[in-house]
Amino acid sequence: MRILYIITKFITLPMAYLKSVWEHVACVMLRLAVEHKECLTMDEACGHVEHKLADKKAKAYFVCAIPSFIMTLAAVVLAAAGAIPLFYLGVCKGAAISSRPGVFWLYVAFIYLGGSALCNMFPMVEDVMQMRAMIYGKDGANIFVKIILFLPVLWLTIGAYLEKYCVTFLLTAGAVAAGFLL
Amino acid sequence: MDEFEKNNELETEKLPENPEEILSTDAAGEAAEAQEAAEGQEAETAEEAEEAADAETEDVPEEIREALDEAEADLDAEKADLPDESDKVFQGGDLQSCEDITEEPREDAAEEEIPEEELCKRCYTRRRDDSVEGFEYCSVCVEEMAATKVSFGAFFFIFLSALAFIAAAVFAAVNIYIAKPVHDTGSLIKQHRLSQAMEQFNEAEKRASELNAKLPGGKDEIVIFETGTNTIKRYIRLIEKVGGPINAGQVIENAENINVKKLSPDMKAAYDEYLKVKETDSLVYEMFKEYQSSIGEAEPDYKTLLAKLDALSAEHKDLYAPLMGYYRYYSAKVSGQSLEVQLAQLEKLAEDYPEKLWLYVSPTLETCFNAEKYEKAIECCDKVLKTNLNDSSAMIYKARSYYAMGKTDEAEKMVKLLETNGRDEDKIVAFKAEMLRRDGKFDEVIALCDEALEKNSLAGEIYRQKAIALMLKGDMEQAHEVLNKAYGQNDVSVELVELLAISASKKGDTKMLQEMKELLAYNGIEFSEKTQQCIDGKLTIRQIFMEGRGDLE
Repeated sequence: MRILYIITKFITLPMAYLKSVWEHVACVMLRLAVEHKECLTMDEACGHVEHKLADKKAKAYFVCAIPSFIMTLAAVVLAAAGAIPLFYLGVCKGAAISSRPGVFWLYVAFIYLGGSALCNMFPMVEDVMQMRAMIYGKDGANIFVKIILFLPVLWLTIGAYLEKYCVTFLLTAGAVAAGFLL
Repeated sequence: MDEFEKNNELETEKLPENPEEILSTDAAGEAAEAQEAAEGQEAETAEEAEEAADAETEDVPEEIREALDEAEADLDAEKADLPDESDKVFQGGDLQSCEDITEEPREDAAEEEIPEEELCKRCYTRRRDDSVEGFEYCSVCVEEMAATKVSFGAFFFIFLSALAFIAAAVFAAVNIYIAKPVHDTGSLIKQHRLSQAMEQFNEAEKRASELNAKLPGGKDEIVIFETGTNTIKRYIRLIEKVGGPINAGQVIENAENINVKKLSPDMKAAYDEYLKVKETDSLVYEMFKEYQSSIGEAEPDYKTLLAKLDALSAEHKDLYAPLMGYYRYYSAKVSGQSLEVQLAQLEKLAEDYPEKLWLYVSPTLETCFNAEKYEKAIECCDKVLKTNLNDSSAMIYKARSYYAMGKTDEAEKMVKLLETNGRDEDKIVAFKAEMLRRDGKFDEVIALCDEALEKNSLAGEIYRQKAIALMLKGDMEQAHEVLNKAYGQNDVSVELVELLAISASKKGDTKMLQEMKELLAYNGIEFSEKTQQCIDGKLTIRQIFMEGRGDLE
C-alpha cells in the first residue's frame, strides 16, 4: 500500500509538491516546527512536510484546514476548466482534435492538474488525528466549536483516510477515463 | 544600661527619624558617618568585650587561658593576611555587578554526560525537550525549526500555480457561460417546451461566436470556443422530436465532427430512417416528375398516381412505407380530390403508423380546418401540443377552430397561452392581428403590424394582415403598396401571392395579375376557389376576410 501511495504521489507530482509547499507555509504562519522541508520522501509522509504536532486547538485545526482549502479550490477550478469543455460540451472530439490541437491539449493539461489536485486535497492522517484529539478529546474545545467544526473535521478525516489508501486517486482516474470514453 | 542597649542607642541616634531623609541625603556621606560610628562603637565594644571576657575567665585554668590566647593570636594573623577592604564602603544602591561574580566550579561536581537516546536529533549536543512526550528535539532547535523560511523555489512554484489557476478560472468561466443554455435545455425538454429548448441551443452557438469574435483576428481566424460535439448530439435528439428523422438526419449529415459509424443506437436509428426517407423521396419525386411531363398541363389523375405508387412499392421492396402513405394523400391533393378524400388518406396513415406524428399531424390539422372539421382539428392540435407546448401553429389553429365554432372564451384563452408559450413572434402578431380584424378593429391591426414590422421588416405575413386591414378600410392604393413591398422580401407565401393577385385585379393591373398566376403555376399551384371568385367579382373582400374562416384557403 505504501508503494502504491508513493506511486500515486509521483504521478500527481505537481500538485503533491504544491500541497507540501502550502503545508510548509501554514506551518510557518502557525509557528510550527518543520522537521523536514523535503516532501518527496519514500514513506507515508510523501507529499507532506514533517512538522511538530500542534499543541493548541486552533493550530491543530488550521494546519489541516488551510492547505486543504487551497487545494480544494484549485482542484475545483482546474477540473472545471478541463471537464466542462472536454466532457460536457464535447469540444475537440473526433476530427476537431486535429484542427485545434493546441486547445485540446490545453484542456487535457487542465484535467491533469485538476485531477492531481483532487488526489492531494487532504492532510496526513497523523495531523487529522491530532486535530480530532485537540478538538474532541479530553481537554477539547467548547460545545459550540465542536458543533461548528463537526462537518469540516469529518470531511478532513474521511478525506485523509481515502487519500492514504489511494481511493481518491482511483476515483479520480476512473472519472477521467469515463469522461474520455463516453 | 547594658552594653547592648548602649549600642542600640548609638545606632538609633545615628539614623534619621524621617525615612525620607535616608533617600534624599548623600548616600556616601551617610555611609561614611555610619562607618565611623560603627568603628568607634566597635572599638568601645571590643574593649568592653575584652574586659568582660577577662572577667569571665578569671576562674578559668591557666592552660586553657593560654590556649585561648594562642587562638586569638592565630585569628589576628589570619585577619592581617586578608586584603584591606576598608576603602570599599558598602553604599546603598551600589550593588556589585554580576560580571564580577565568577562562578567557581564545585570541585566535587563530576561532568554531566547526556545519553545518546536523549540527545537532540538535529544538533546532537543538547538534551531533548522533555515537556513533549516522545519529542526528539531540544528547545533551541525547535525555535530554529519554527523559524524555517519557505524557499524561493517554492514561492516561484506558487507564482506559477497562481498563473495556471487564473488561466483555468478564465476558461472555466467562459465555458460555463457557453454551457449554461445547453444545460437549461434539459429541463425545458422535460417540460415539453421544445421550441424554447431549440432557442437555447441557438443562444449557446451565438455566445461561442461572440466570444471568438473578440479574439484577435475575429471569429473567422481563431476558433477557440465552441459548443462541442456533445451539444450537437443533444440538438439532434431534440430536433428529431420536433421535426422527425428528416431534420435530424440532415443535421447529422452536415455536422463536421460527427462520425456516422460511431453514433449512439437511437441516433443511428434516426439516421437510418432519414436515409430511407431520402431514397424513397427521390424515387417518388422522379416518378411524379415523369408523370407530370407526360401529361403536360393537364391535371394529374388520382387513380393513375395511386397505381404508379403501388407499382413503385412493388418494384422497390425496401421503400419507406409511411412516406408512401403520405404520398397517397399528396396524390389526392395535387389531383384536386375533395378534402374528405384527402382526410381519409391521412386518417389511414395515422391508423397504420400512429407514432409517425411528424409525417401526418400537420397536413391533418390543416385539412381538418379547411374542411371545417374543427373538433378533429382541435384533437390534432392537442396531439401536437402534448409533444411540444411551444408549437405556435398548433395553438393558432386551435384558437381559430374555437373562434370558428363560436367559442370565443376558449379562443381568448388560447391567445393568452400563445402569448405565454408561443415562440414564433411573427406568427403570434399575425394571429393577433387576425383576431382584431375579425372584431372590426382595423386601425388597431394597422398599428400592431407597424409596431411588429419595426422589429422585423421581413415578416411577409404581417404585411399581409396589414394589407387586408387596409383593404377592408377601403384604402386599396396603400394596400397594394404594402403587398408590393412584401413581395420584394424573401418571405413570400401562397396566401400573399393570392392576395396580391386580388389587389392587382381590383386595381386593374392585369400584368401583375398574370405574373402572380404564372408564379403559382410554376409551383404546380392554382388560384384557390375563393381567390378566383374574388377576382371574378363573385365574392367581396369583406365576405372572404370577415365571414366564415376569415381568410383565403
